[in-house]
This record gives sequence, structure tokens and C-alpha cells, in this order.
Amino acid sequence: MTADLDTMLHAASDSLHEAVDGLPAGEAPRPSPVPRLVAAAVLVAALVAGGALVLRLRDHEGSISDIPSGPDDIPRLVVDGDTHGLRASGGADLPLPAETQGIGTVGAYGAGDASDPFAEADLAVIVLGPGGSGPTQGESVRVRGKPATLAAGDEPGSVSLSWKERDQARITLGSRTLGRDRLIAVAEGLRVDGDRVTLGTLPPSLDGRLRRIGHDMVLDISMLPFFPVSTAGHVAAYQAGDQVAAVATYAGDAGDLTATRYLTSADRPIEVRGHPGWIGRSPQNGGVVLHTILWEESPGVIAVVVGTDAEATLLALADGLRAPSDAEWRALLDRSDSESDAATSSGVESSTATMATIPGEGADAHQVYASGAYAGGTWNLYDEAGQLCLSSESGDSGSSVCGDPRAGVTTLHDSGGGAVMVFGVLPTGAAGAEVPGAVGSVEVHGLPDGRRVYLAPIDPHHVPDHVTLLGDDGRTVDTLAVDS
Amino acid sequence: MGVIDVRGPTAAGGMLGAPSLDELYRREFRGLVALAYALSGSRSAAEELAQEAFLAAHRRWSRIGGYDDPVAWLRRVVANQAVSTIRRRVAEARALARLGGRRQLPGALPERDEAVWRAVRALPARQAQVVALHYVSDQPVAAIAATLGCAEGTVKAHLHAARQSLARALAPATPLAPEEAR
Repeated sequence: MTADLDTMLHAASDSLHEAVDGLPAGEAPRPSPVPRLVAAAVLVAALVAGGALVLRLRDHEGSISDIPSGPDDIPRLVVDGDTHGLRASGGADLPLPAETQGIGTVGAYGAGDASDPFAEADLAVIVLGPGGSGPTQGESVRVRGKPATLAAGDEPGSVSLSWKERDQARITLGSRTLGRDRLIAVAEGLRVDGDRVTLGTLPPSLDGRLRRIGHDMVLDISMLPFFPVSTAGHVAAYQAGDQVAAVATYAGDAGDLTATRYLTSADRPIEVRGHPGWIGRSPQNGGVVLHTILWEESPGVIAVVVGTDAEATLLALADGLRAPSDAEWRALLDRSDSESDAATSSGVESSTATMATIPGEGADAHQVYASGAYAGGTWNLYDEAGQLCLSSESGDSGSSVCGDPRAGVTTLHDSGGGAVMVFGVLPTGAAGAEVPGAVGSVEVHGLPDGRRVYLAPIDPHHVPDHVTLLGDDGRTVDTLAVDS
Repeated sequence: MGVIDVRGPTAAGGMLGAPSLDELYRREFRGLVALAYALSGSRSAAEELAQEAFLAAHRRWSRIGGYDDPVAWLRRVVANQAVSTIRRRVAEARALARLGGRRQLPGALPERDEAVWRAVRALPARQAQVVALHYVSDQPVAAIAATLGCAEGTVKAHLHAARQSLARALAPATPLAPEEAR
């Protein structure tokens, strides 16, 4: 090893220790009986993955004109009782103080008509501050003189482009319509002024057509769902085990409503609380699925429910929302304050989602489709709130992962962090899967609803980079990348 | 070890010379955050992952408190969780989910050092863990092997492979030495 590399690693370690030097370290955390909000950070991940940028506007287009000006004008909404086991874990009035606002912003641009402002072209511009991440796998390109990653999204044609602009700021562009070359061209023309990023010179096919939809929105998982940066409103958060939900009401115009629908894939018309609304789902990296329901609660007031629970559960939750008393709301705000104070001063931790509780619990509590053993332990394939889950156990440790019930490939990591199994739902036309380097055979199990799931143990030290789905005749039906 | 079983993690001082969980927290928390920061690349998740490790230790302190080196257990939990994508994201979410609250995060790293840890994180998970435990936690090979539950030879092999990869990834600033390039 060179002295240079050793020196660099020691210097980088010294920096790390300096970075954490000021953190308070009083008493060790203890479990708290009060569940704390676990909001899903994964919208960020989804956006930067370029996988959720899709919108198909239909029916009852929103039309908001009068915008309330202060939080007192915005109705508060809370979940009624302990609906579906969800318990209140925090609340906040909007806008948040500047120092606690998000980790970045996202803006939406589109070209289309009144019925679908994104019909001809769509673009999401995500600006993340320090710590923001973007896709790491994809085509390496250079934009604005900097190395960038161009990655395909989950939706056909969707693509994202991400690079570090300067210092710690990261910019990610996502679109399902622009394609590789136009997205790069848009990136080259961006105007960056501090944290403010606006469209600059555009490709001829977009020049004069791509327009801003809604306002910049806060990108902060604590503030799910999205809301305009300086808007007035309220957010209440709930948790039931690993399931989380948030209810927000905030001032917004028709553009904000449209932009939120675009960013959350809320494209199916529904009725909520007697209002026309929309619902959508966003499969996230890591197997989490977010459902978003939004509607116009009153003139100029957008209401959103976001959660990881099953769609039907969230719809029931939304329909059952009610206005809290002032005392009730104050208690919710106090709960947030006490939680965060405890977390920063004495380190009190209250989440139920820890590595100690994951192994086996899901399989014990839900319908198990299949079980088996592999060299490293045992596994269970099961359903949890509509998600397809796989757990493994080895000795007194274990792990589990849940995901989109239709996901083609999901990786299960053991408690040691190593990838130990891959599994996924076979699409129409596929009868089996080929997993390079599988430890043992690839098994296929039929589920009661007709889905067929393949799964295979893998060597954590030789994680395959893809899975090949095969038809009855052995021909390749699809090749899916494995997230190691 | 009956005395261990009745010793709660909230004990103000360690019994029989062993540290209490609070003492361990005061002594090791920041180091574990640094370890998690190196492996996760997330300032918010790092703090949360270290908290989670202590919370997990609290839950099973009757057993872990009896270990010769409970910190090794904490390091293993943090190292494992920090390289797990889904756990890291959940921790990040949890850390950022304190509505309206204040939180204190580790500071940002200078770009040159961030680049080093980015390269480490691009390594296979086990190699990254070994590098982080060696450099961030200042652990010798034997201790890393005990922490990760593998043979010392395996740790040495991971370290060697990691250094080769890092030298290439961080080139031209860190060209391989002739003896390593062979």
C-alpha cells in the first residue's frame, strides 16, 4: 500500500472524527412508549432514481384560484382515533422555520395543454443540499464539465441525470419524455445561481414550450408530502410499526396540485371526503411503496395523505380524517418537540423499527406463502400489507425485505449486510429465472393469486449484477439489474 | 454471570469494573457515528444508526453487557446496518422525520475526504466495512475479524483487495506502489 493512500485514509478518518466531535453524547437511548414519526425518505430516492416521474392526468382537473394566506386559514386534519393501528407521532405548522426546512427542493416543468400540462414534455429539477445522493449506476457522461450519471427509470422511457454541481450541492433531472440527449441538453443550459436553479438555454424542440408548473417544493422526508417552500399549512404524522403515514393540508394553487400529482404519480381519479381527488403509488428503492392521495379540501387548500400502508387502508384513513380541537393539535406539536428534544439531548430513541425486531416477525404475523432453507439459514416468503416479503434467519439473527408485489427482482441482505437472496415476481411469459452464481437451485413458487415468484440464495461475496428471466422455451424474456 | 443479568443498562456506574451502557454511550457514540458516516455517506443516517445500535444494545443488555467487548458488538451492528441500503434509508428517514424539531448532525466533510469515503463505499460491502473499521475505528486485524465474525486471513484479504481498488479509484493521486502493482 502506498504511503499516499494510507495518508489519505487517515486524513479522511480524522475529518470524520472532527465532523462528529460536537455531537452531544449524554445518556444512552432507551425505548420510549411513544412512537415517533417515521416518514419515508424514499421519495427523494425515487425521484433521483427517475423511476416515479410519471403522470397521466385524467378527469376532473383541479382548478384552485383563491389561496389562503396564513396557517389559520388552513384547516387541520388528523386521523380519527387509532385508525388501523396508526398512532400520532408528531405534527408541525407550516412553513417550518428556515433552519429546519428541507434537504432540497424540487420543481416541475411541463409542456402540454390544460388537460395534461406534461403531455408533450415533462421535467423534474431536484436540487439537494449536503448529503443528497443520486443514482450511482448508469451511463457515465459529462455535463457542465462534471462527471454525471445517466440512469434509466422504472417507467418506460424515463431517465434521470445526476451530478454534483459544486461544493455539496447535487442536481438531478428526471423525465419520462425528454430522453437522454434532450435531458443532457437541458442540463447544459441550466442557470445556477447559488441554490437557485432555473432553466436556461433549451433545445430547439423545447424552447418556449417548457413552462413551470407550480412552485418549488420542499424535498424533505420529514415533510412528506411535498409542499411549496414557503406555504402555510399543517402536517400530522402517524406510525404503526414500520408503516408510516402523514396528513398535510397546505395552501396551494392549481399548479401546485398538478405538480404534486406529477411528482407523486397520483394519476388515478378517486373521490375523497366528497371531493374529487387522485391516488398513486410510487415503488421506492429498498422495497418500500408509497401511496399518495391528494385532493382540494377547500378553495386554495390542498390536502395530501402519504403512507406506506396498503392503498385501501390509506383511503379509509383519508375518508375518516377530522378536524382536531386546538388542544389536540397543541398536544401533537408538543409531541414533536419532546421527541426531537429527547433525540438531540439525551438520545431517546423510540422507533419500533430496529434491526432487532425485523427478523421473523413479518413471517410470523402474516400469510406465509413458502418456506425453505439455504446454506446460510432458513427463509420465508410472505405477504405483509399487500407487499411481497422475504425474510431469512440464521442463528439468532435475521433480516427481511418487503417490496412491490410485482417487483421483478429484490435483494435480501442478511444482518451482516451481505446480499443473501434474490427474489421476484415472474412477469407474463416468464417461467423461471437464471441467477448467475446462485448457491443452489432457483426455486419457483406459485402464489394463491396466480403470481409466480422465483427466489435463489446467492453468495454475498459474488452478488450477481443481473437476473435473467426465461420463458418456457428457455429464451430470455427479460434481464433485470440486481441492486447489490 | 448472574450479576450481569440483573445489571440494567441504566446503571450509573459499571459493576465489577464493566462500563455501563451510559458510559459506553458517552465514550463510543461519536466514534460509532463516524463509522456509520463513513459507510453510509449520510450525515443524518449516521447519527440515527449509532442511536439504533445503542437502543438495540439496551434491549439486550443483559446479554451484551456481559460480553468482553460490547463495543465490538455495537461496531458490528453499525457496520452492518450502514451498508444495508434499506436500513440506511429507514434510518435517514427517521432522522429527518422529526417534525419541526432541531437536530444536530455531523459536519460536512471536505470534498477531498468525502471523495475518499465515496470510493470506500463503492467497494464491496465487506471490504468497505474492513477499511472503515481499520481506519475510522482504529481496529487491528484481529479485532476486525472478531467484530465481523470472520477469520483474520479473510480480513487481510479484504484489506488488500480494498487497498488495490482504492489506489486505482483514487488515482492519479495515489498510484500503486511497484510491489502492489504486481
